[in-house]
Amino acid sequence: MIPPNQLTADSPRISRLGREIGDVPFRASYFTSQLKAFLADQIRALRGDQSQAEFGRIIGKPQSVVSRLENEAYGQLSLQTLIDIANKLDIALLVRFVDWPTFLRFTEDYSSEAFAPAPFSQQQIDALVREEEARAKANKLMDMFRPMEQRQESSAQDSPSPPSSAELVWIDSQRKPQPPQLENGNGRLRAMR
Amino acid sequence: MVALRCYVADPGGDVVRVWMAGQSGAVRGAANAVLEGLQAIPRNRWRRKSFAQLGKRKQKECVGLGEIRIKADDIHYRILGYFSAEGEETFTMLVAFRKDCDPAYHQACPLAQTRKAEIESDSSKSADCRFPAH
Repeated sequence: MIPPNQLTADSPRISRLGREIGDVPFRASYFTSQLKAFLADQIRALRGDQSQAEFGRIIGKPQSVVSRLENEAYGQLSLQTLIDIANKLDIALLVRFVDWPTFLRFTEDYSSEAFAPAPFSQQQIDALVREEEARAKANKLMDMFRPMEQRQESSAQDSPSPPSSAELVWIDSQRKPQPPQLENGNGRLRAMR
Repeated sequence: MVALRCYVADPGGDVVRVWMAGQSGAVRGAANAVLEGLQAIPRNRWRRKSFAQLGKRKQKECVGLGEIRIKADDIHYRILGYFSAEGEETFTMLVAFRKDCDPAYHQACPLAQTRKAEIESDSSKSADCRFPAH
């Protein structure tokens, strides 16, 4: 941890906040202001170059409501209003209570993607599914190469047991199609089938 | 993204950090959140409630200045400063004060103008400042 007297403007944001966040009034005030301001900025960024009236037509609200949504001092937004806007724009909404480290990490992101998230895209979801499946497969394979003692320890807890040979055949069958020359060769996978 | 700079008093240092250090936790928390948010968005999206250009109506001594608005515990605070040039994304903060101590800005705006002139003739009178403050 960087000592307070060695913190500079270039120190990580969480280091700069870390000294102050222990103070109850500070963190209550910081959290409240950050949340309201970010939400107002998000609405403004999602509106983009459209007028408040045009954006209002898209989200099904009058211009006066859009104006209030962009005003971080308003603070009277209902959860249902936020859900309605998310559904109209086909984006997701996270509203949940979190611990402070989670809050600090989550609020690090001030990128343009964070302000104006992209609407639903099946391609993004497909990429996510492939990534998660590859990760799960890699975890299973890693598990096979761990020393026997560790595997016994973890199986006594909650980790899944290493895949059987039948499971490995199934995992291989789920892989993306191989190039034709491999499909037509006498590879081990084909021989096992 | 807007780069924030602060007037540097001699002696004393960065006036915004010095001012913040003397405020309650609630004021420091709100000020840090507002400034952090403003520095993350382009100038043309600085929110109306958090920022206003001054010099209209009766505030002739405030011409060329803008104010960052902070509210904590139902008390209003202001940080006066200026954008370096049209279209430029640098805002230099000059004076921070509690609004009800100077509701007409009779003290704050002339002081801000003096500091602005000092910076314009000597750029070393301002320094980069990032928020949350360290």
